Parts: sequence; structure tokens; C-alpha cells
Amino acid sequence: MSEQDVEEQRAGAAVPIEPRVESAHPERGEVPDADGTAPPSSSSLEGDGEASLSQWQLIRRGFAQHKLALFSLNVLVVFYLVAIFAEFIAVAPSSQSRVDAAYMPPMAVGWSVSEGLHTSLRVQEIDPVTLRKQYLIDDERVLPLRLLPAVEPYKLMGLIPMRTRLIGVDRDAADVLGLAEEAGVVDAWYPLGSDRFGRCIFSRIVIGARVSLSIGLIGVACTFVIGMVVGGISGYVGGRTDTAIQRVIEIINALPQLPLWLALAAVFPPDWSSLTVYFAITVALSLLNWTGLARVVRGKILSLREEDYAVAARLLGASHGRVLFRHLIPGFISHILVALTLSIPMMILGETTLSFLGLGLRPPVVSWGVMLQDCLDVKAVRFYPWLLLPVVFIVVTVMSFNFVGDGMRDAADPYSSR
Amino acid sequence: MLDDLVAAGALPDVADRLPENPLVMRGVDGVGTYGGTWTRLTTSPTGVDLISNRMSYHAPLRWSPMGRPMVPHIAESFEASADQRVFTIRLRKGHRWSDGVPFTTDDIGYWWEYEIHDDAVHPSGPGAWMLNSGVEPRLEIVDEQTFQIIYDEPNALFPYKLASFGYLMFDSPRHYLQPFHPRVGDEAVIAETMEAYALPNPRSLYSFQKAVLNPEHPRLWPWIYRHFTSNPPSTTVRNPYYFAVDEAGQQLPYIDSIRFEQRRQELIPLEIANGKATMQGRYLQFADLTEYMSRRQSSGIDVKFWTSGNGSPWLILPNQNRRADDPADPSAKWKAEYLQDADFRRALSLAIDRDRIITSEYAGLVEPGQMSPGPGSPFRNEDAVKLFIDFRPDEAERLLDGLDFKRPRPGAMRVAPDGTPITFLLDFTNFSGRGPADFVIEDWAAIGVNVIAKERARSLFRIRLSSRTADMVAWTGEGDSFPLIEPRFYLPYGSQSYWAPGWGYWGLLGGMHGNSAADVGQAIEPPEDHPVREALRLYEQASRTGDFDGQAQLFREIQRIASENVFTINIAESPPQLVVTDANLRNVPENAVYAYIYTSPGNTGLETYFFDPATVSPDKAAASNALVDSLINPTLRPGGESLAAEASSFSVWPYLRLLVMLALSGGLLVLGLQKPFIGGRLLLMVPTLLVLSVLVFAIIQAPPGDYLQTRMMELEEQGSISAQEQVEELRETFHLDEPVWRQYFRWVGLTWFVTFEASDTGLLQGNLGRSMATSQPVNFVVGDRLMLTVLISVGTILFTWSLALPIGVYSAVKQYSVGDYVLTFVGFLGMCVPSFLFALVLMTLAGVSGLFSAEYAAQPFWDLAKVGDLLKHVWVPVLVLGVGGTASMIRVMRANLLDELRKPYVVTARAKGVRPTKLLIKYPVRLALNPFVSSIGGLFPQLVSGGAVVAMVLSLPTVGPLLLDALLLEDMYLAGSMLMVLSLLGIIGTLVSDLLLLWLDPRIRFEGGAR
Repeated sequence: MSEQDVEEQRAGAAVPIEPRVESAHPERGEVPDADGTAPPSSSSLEGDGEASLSQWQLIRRGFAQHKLALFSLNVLVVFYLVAIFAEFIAVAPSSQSRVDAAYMPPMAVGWSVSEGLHTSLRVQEIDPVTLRKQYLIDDERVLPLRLLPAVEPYKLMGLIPMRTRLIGVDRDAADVLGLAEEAGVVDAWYPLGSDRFGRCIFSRIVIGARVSLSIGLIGVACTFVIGMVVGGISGYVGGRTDTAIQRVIEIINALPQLPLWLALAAVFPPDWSSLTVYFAITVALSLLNWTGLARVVRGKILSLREEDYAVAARLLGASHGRVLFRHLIPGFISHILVALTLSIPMMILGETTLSFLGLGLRPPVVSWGVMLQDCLDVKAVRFYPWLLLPVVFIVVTVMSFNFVGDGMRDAADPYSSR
Repeated sequence: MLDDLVAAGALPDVADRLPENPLVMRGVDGVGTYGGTWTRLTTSPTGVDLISNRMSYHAPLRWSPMGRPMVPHIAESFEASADQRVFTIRLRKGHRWSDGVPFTTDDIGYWWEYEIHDDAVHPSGPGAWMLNSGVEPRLEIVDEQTFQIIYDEPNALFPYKLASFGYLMFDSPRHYLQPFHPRVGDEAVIAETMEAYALPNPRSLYSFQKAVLNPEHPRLWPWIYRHFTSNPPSTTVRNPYYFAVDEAGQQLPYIDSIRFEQRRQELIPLEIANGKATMQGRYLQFADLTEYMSRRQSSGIDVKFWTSGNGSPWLILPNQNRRADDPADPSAKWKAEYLQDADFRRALSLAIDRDRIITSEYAGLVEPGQMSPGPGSPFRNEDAVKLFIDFRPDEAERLLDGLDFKRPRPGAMRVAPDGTPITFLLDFTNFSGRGPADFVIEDWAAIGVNVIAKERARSLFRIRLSSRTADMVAWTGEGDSFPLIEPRFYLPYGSQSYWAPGWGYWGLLGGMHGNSAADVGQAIEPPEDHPVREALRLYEQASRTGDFDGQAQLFREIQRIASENVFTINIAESPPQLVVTDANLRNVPENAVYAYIYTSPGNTGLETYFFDPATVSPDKAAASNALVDSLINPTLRPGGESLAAEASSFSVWPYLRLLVMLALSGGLLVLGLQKPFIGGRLLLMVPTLLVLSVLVFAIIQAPPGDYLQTRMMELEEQGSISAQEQVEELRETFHLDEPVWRQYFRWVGLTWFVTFEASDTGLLQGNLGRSMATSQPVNFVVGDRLMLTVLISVGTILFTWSLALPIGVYSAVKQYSVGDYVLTFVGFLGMCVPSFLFALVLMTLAGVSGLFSAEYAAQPFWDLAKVGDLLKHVWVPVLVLGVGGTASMIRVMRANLLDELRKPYVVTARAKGVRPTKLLIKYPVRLALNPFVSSIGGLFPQLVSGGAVVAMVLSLPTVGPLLLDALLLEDMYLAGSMLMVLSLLGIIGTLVSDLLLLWLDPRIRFEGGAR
């Protein structure tokens, strides 16, 4: 259950709930917060400095005080940057496989004066009884690495031709050592290990981030359009239309989402291209996901519609469009952002689950969910735990979105005294 | 375990149950002791069908553990005439069916006349194994024990086939089946039974009665199915009339029962490694060797390396009879053309980097090669094995360019001459697994051929082949260690020649001799000079030759033709077949040949397997009483009880149920009228369900080419009269001729309100419709899954509350304390970890899967022990689901309690000296509970949906996995009904939360709530 549902239930609960005020505990009085910020005082809101700040500046200031949210935001920014420059940051193409380096454990990067940037050199050894693949570390030699090594040409984002990556094996130095010719020696670098095909987990996570992270954004865009339109109509028109729309929303909320997604995904023709499946899944995800936003929009419009300034605008002869877009929407755009942010994690988890069950994206497309399919293999958990690494990224992303959304909600809430 | 029954007079003495001359079987470890349950794992509900063949060898002759020689089995003696035309089989005098009725040639006569030669029940005629150049033999019944199979032409291969497939003759007890026969049966019985089981027509009734899982059907098997449960596990129990004894004269089999548990394919290795299967080779992949070998000690398992009788662990079969006029696929014309071209197939074979696959999938232990009998086999053609297996992508590209299948520009995927892009689908099932599909597809993409691998449910896989809409399929190259028995992957031999099913029919039915039988719709005549004709001629020659060496030589020539033309594309030879057994199981041979033609593991003498009495206590090994009782009174299928009880007495249950339902709905109605709030909620359920049903019905109707359509395409392809009839029956059963809105009305059950006929009931009357795949009512399939689903959901809610409430209170009271932060963080973490993954990890670490231990899962009734066992297992799904929901509940509780704590009345009360704890519990917490309770409404649908996924991972016997199975089978009615059930659960959950709220909050009680 994500945050927006909480919001929704608070809004939809039969009891009129006052806006949440999370100030210091009444028993303790106004003691400093745990994170050391000064206790809020009523006077500061009317202070000279703040009176001249715009709503956005206030929100930004509120948000900046939310350390966890700020940190999460930075994490997300890094993730999205990585996703954008995925091919450059990855150390190998996502589909490049080396069967003689399957199930390689992660290889940490090291630096020393004599050897420069390097990682350990591994030699494959297969257990004769259990046939388990193991890698011994060569004590005497290392695998040289360097920044911006020359690699096979590729196109960044399919557009910009490139001949180098951020970091990789120093081919020239490796050739001097003659590593490529030696049997069993792995002259490739797997920062986070490799899977059963000997594909680089790190590179796949980085490239898979593009699909997994963007599916949330595109899905949210669809959600935004549907939610704004439906919620706006519901709130602004009101009356029977409003009732009808609210009933529809309740119906959709009563549906079990995942099984419906499954069913929707199962009816996609198998010969659709990966791109089509990707968009179809995004749409399927957002078709059931817009209700939270629609409720927020409706609730806000309902309350703002009767505010004096809105009534005044209407009486002065402003058109419906003008009232709506010029006067009402700016009043609650921050709330929309919050609702949107909080619905992204649902989408990401949805894609992951669908792909994991084999009904979402399919190889050769790389996404975090597709990568998790390998984890159903018992060997993953027992012998090759690094195959579970995409989970870490999923969890961090989802948590970050939640914290950012949380922080934004607190910051956008004008009654919040934090 | 049978002694008690004998003592009670329910069974005759063992001497009277055995034939005069019983079969004596001797295991490698000698005489054993009785008792124990053998657990097997399957991946689908139909996996238990194995008891009719591989787990119950009951052919006249039997293969030895290592293949040849064949020894008499059901037959007391077997004789072939010198000219290989007349085969005489003598049954054992006093051999009985599992119900004690003598088994004689009369049953063979019934099988011959009223089954395989009766269009009404068996439209496809006698099986492929009976035919000789497309000609059927005659049956001559000599006396009660002796019968002869007589061919016009010599058929030297018949004894082999008899050992492999002869069991098909021995599943037709006349005394049981004849009353249900559509043509000669008792019409009153048929009508009555059809009604009891809700079956649409006599034909489906007959196959329903013939079904493997009919507990009443008498059998000759060592273990028989007597105990019906609508969901796995399915349990078989030893046949008290089995005809074999050990050297000491004790009746076999030793083991009391075999239990089939269902698990997801991906979980099978884990379960096997945990020692959850007693003995199993099926579904074991060589790639999982590491796991098994390293767990031998800790799990008490033995790993055996049996000789694989397969020519290939994973074989690609390009369908040369691909339909060219497929309305669903515009590129079908080109696909058909390319697939038929030998150069195309050669190119595909040359493009595969076999060494890479062997290194990765088979630890570098096997040799690359085309489909072939294994090394050392007299049938092996060494030269043919090595044809077109080199990795030569350049040559492959050259061949494809020569076919006018070109890349529009360098690096792009190849297109047809008219520019149509072509995507081939490679169908595979869980039987062969995905195997090296990803490697192959990557290699093919490199030469510009676009292929997508798609897993299909097994029946859909087969149907797509016989409707000729499959492009390529993957299967295992089975049974080739004796390839003459079923040479389906070397020459066109029946519909099981997946690379050319149409030619297969033609070849099998004697098309070469102008046999008119070969003129059926499904048969396709290969071109005049096609090499398959030569292969068919050689095979016929082999069946005329009595001498083994001559047969072998002819086969080597057949293999050359197959490899030269690349009928099938193989990667590598088979690695050894892994067999994992319980370390305490005895009489399992160290080595045996494992192949379907030997009905392995049946060829190793399963009857003699026993548990070492030194290590397995007899108490633990004892079969449950219910199982023993079922030998006398089989537990019937749903509907069967009413049939049995009908004559006896008037049953009060249906009326009582009706009464309870009426009372409940009446109560709700009164409540709704009195409390507008609840009334509103109840009213709202109507449109909700309406919209929902429309949505689900749209999903049911959406996919082009679902199970039903493909099945009808298959039947139309057959073209025979009875196939036409079946198409009509399907149309009628599923009302396909009616407009969509009428079908919808019917599904929902609106029609019933006009007609009041039982056949018109729908969802509203609790009838969930009919499964497309089995024509069985969905209600029978659901069984107690629904109850368990509710149980898990409610359990999770309680768990969530009991966790979230105190934590929420703590977090609010101690706001911003370290504890608050830690708990919030942990809660968030639980919310963000995908539940399926958490379930997987928990299962691996705790070793708990399913909802019951093996011994209780099969127990049909509930007692304290079973409930206790359920509690031992249910914590995994409850924990997994609960952790996800707890975080948000904590936040709801915390936020609301904070709101309350800030109210003036709290300050006042504190100032007046009320003790903090008392104050907290008495006022703010109670008020804060409201939104908490109302949030259950939102929680419930999500629990149900999350639960469905977790259940899929954990193989829980709930509704979720059924939905997934149905989706994979494209059985849309079943899937749709499951969706409805899940949604309904969500809606009811919401309603319950509203009722709770009503009870809790006086404001709603009195005012009606301002929603």
C-alpha cells in the first residue's frame, strides 16, 4: 500500500480529519526536533523574510529541511543521470555474454601506486563433484583498469557515436600480460559479478534502469492526464457527474490490481515487439493507477472552488478555463506533484512483478524485473547471491520516491509547522 | 496396511487376490518391507496422469532397467509367429481388476470393438503403435485368457511397441465402462450421471469416466487412484489385487501410496534439493546438478546418474507443415515457405554456437551433434551426427541470402521479398523447459532471423501444432535409444512428428500405399520427390525384417536422411539423466536407461521399491486411514456423492444452505434499510460488480486464438464427421454462435431469471462457468482454494493490525525518538521490497512451502492436527503480505493519533491528573482507530492481489496460482472467473470494514456518514 492510499483514506474517511500537524509532542512542549532544527514558532510564519516568499520558495525551504527527503532526491537524480548515460557508465553491452565467466562474484576495484587502478585477476575452477563454478584470485597479478578506455564503438542513447566508456579494463596493459590467451583466466571486469550467461550484472542494472525508471515516469504522465481530467471534471462540475465519477473511482479501487494487470498482460499478442509491450504495460499500469490523483484533484478543486478569490473571479466573468487554470490549479499543483511522486513506486513495483512472472517485458529487453527472473533459480539465493542485486536498486528507488513524496507533502502542507 | 481390511472382511485373503501364476519380481536389494509414502512433484494438475503409464507399467511385455531384453509382464506368455505376422498373448488366469472382477480377454474385446473402433468415443482410431504401413491388424480372441493380434504383412517391430505402448489395451474394464458407453450404454444411467456431474453430452461423460482421476475406475496399476481431491496433492494407494509378488511370495508393491504434489517449475530444484521428493527424475535439469550434489548430506538424498535414453535434451523442430493461410498472421505465407526449405533449416543450424551453449548449460560435458541414438548404440550413424553442427554464421547468411530472405540494410533483421517483417515464434513447454533458447535466439538474431521464445501450456502447445499454426517448437528428443519404436523425429510418424505433423499423419496412415485412411483432413501429402518418402520406405523395410542387425542398418540410413535435411535442429547429446532419491529408498538401481519409450522409471520395477526399515519408522510411514478406507469406498468427484446418495435419503444440506443464505441476505437488507450508510455501500456493490463483470468479460473475449479457438481449429483440421460433431458440441457448450451480449448475459446468469433452468445459471447463481480446456465446471476446480484464500487474507489483516497498532501508538507517543525512526524505516523497507522476492528468500531460508505438510495436504477432512499443520505453514505468506501492509497502517495510526493528542481535551485531561496510559487508551487511541479501521477497506483488495502473486511463488493452494495457470493455458473462462472471485473478495473486504466502522463509530451509526 503506497502513501497516496493513506492520503486517500484520510481524505475519504468518514471522520473529518484535520490537516496533519506533526509538531513536537505536546507533553514535551517545544523542545528541539530530533534532527536539530529550531522549534517552529508561530511568529516565524509572519516574519519579514517569509512574508515575501512565493509559495514555491516556501515549499522549497520546507523540503530542504527534510533531510531524508533531500538525500533521497539526490539519490534519484543520480539514478536518473545514470539511466540517461547508461551505455557510457556500463562496463559492457548488456547482452554481451562470456560463458567461461558465468556466475562470477563481484570484483571490487582497487588502487595502488605500483599497479594503478586495478581489480583482482580471477581464474575459473570447476568443482569436479558438484560442477560448481568457482573463481580463484590470482595472488601475483592483477587486472589493470583505467578511466575512459577505448572500446568497440557504440551509440549513446542510440544517437551519439562513442568510442569510450567511463571505466573499464585497460586492454593495452592486459595484452602485455597476455591474459587473453591463458586458459581459465578471466580478463574481463565484473564490478557486481555476472549471471549464468556470464553477462555483467552491473552493466545490466545500469542499462535496465532506463526501462525500469522510465516506466514509472511515462506511466505517471498517463496517470497525470487521466487523473487531472477526470478529477478536474469531477470537482469543478460537481453534482451528479461528481457522484458518478466518485463511484467509478471506488469501483476501480476495489479491483485487485495485480491479477488484473496479469490478465491484461496475458492478452498481449506474443509477437508484439518489445517496445510495444513496454508501452502497453505502461498504459495498463496507469489505467488502474489514476484514481489516487483524481481524488486529490477533486478534493482540492472542491475546497478551492468556493474560496472567495475563485468566486470573485467567476463573478467578474472569467471563463471556466481561466478560473480553472489561472486560479484553481496553481493553488494545488504542489499536491498533485506529491500524489504523482507517490504513485511512481507502485508502477515500478508493478513492472517488476509482471516481468518477474514472465508476463511483462521479455528478454532481450533488460529491466530490473526481467533480471529478477533469474532469482527464481534456487541457486541464486544459495550460491550466487549477487544475482539478487537488482532488488537493492528497486528497494532504494522505491524508498527514495516514498521519502521524496513524504517530504514534499510535508513541505507543501501550509499548516505544517515543521 | 491391507491386513485390517482382510480381517474386517472387506477384502478377500491375499491368495484369492493374486492370479494363479503371479509375476515374481526381484529387486537389487532383495526382499523389502511394506509401508511408506512416495512423494512426487509435478508442475501442473495434469502431472498426476503419470500414474497411468510411467508410474504403473502395465503392458503385456516389459523392458528391463537397461532397455533390452523384454520380459513377459501382464502377459503370462507371448509368442510371435516365424513370419512376424501372428502375435499370441496369454493373460494370467485369476488376474483381477482392482475391484476384484476378473480381467479376461472379454475386456480386450470391449476395448477393440467399443473403444478404438467406435467413432463415438475414440474418433482417431487405433493408435499409431498398432499400425503397420497404415494397416490395422485383426484381433482374434482364442479363449478367456488367450488372444491374438494378426497382421497381413510382417510387423517385426510390433513386440517392441507392445512393450512400450501395450498398456493402452489394458485400461478398459467392460463391466465398469459399458453402462456409460454413448452407443450401447444404459441411457438412464448416462442421463443421470451427466446431470450429476454437469456434463454437456454423452461423449464428454464417457471421457470423464475414463479419466485418469476417476476414483471409481478399476485398474491394473500397482497404485490406483481412489481418493478424489479437487486440488493437488493427489494420492494413489496400492492396488490390493496387484498381480506381482516378491521372491518370498509377498504381494507387491511395498510402498503404500504415491502422492503427487504440485509446485511451480522453478521451485522444483529447490524442493528436490530439500529432500521433498522420494524419487524423481522428471523435471530435473542437468544444470541443477550443483545444487543436488552439495545437498546430499544435509537433505538425506542420493543422486544417481542414469543413462539418458533421449537423443537430445532440447531439440528444435521447425514446423514444415506450417499453415500458409493463417488469418491471424500476415507473414504466414512466407514462414511456411521458408520453413519447408532445407537450406533455411541448415542455415539456422549452422548459426548456432554449440560450444558456447554446452559450456554454459551442460558444464562442457557433452558432445555437440544432431539428433541421434547415443554413443555405442547399434542404431547410431556417426557421420550423420556431425552434419551441419559447425558454427559458421557466414555460411548461414549466404544460404539465407540465396533464399530471397534478405536484410533490407546491413544489420537489420531479414524480411520477405515483399518487405513483410517476419517474427518466428518458438513454442516450448515446461516439459523441455526454456533450455538454451536465449542463446539460440541470440545466435539467430546475429544472422538476421527474428525469433521469440514463448512458453505454452502443454495442451495449447499440442493444439497449436495440430492446427498447424506453430512456427517452431522445442521438445526433448525422446526415446531414441531404440529409435524404431517411435521414430517420430527422424521420419514423419504421426502427429507427434512435431516438425511435420501433417506428413506424419500421411505417413503413419499408409499414405504411400494410397491407403484411403490417409485421406483425412489433417494428413498432408509430401511432394513427389521429397526425401521423407525414402525414409518412410526404409522404415517399412525394417518392419519386414526379423533380424536386429538388419533393422539397425536400415535405421542408420534413415538417420542420414534426417540429418542431411535437418528435419530437426539439435544442440548437443543428452547429459546423464539425474535421478534424486531419498537416501533410505531401496531397490533403486544405480543405473538404468531413462526414456519415455521404456515408460521410465516404470522399467526399473517401482513395485519393489521400499523404505529401509532400519531408518524409517513404520509409524511415520503408515498410510492414513482415510486412504485405506478409500480402497473400499472411493472418495468421489464433486457431484458423485449426490449420485450415490440420491437413492438413499433426502438430504437436508442444500435447504439448510439456502436458509443460511436467505437469512444472511435478509439481515444485510434490513441493516441496509436501517442504516443509510450501509445501504449506500450495499447499493454501490451492484454497479461495482456490473462494471467489473463487463471488464472481465472483455478480457475473456479479447485474445485472438485462445484455447477454445485453437482447439476448434484443430478439430476442423481433422475433418472427420465426429470431429465436426465435437466442434458443434463446443459451439453449443460455449454458445459461440450467439452475439457477444447474449454470451455475457449467460455468463453472468441473467438468462436464468427468464428461464429458471439449471443450465442457464451463471455468476449470480454461483456458477462460475466452464473451463475451456476441460469442459468441467469451474466450481469443481476451485474447491477449498477460496476458503484458504480468505483465510490467508484475514490472517494477514489480523497480523497487520496486531503489529501496526502498538507500533503506531508507540511512534506517535514517542515521536521523533530513535525507536520511531527505526520502526518507520523498517516499515518502509517492508513496503518497498517486492513481496514475491521476500517470499522466495524466506522460503529458501526457512524451507517452508505450500500450506500443508505432505501428510496433511491429502487429508480431506479437517481436524486439530491439520489446523496445527496449517498454522506451521501459513506464517510465511502472512508474514510476507503483512510486512508490506504494516508500514502504511503504522503511518495511518501514527498520524491520526498525533492529531488526537494535540486536541485540547487531552491537555485538559492531563492537567486534571488522569494517568497518561489510561487517558491514551481510553480516548485518543479509540478515536484514532476510526481511520485505521476504514483503511482495511483499501487494504483488502491489495492483500488479495498481493496474495495472488505470493501464492504463485509459494505454490499455495489458493485462487492466485489457478489464475496464472489459466492465463498460461489461455483458458479464458477459468481465468475470468478467478478474476471475478478475487475482485469479489476485495469488495466484500471493503464492505466488512464498513460494517466494522459502523459498529465502532457512533457518528456514522447515527448520521449515516458523509461520504
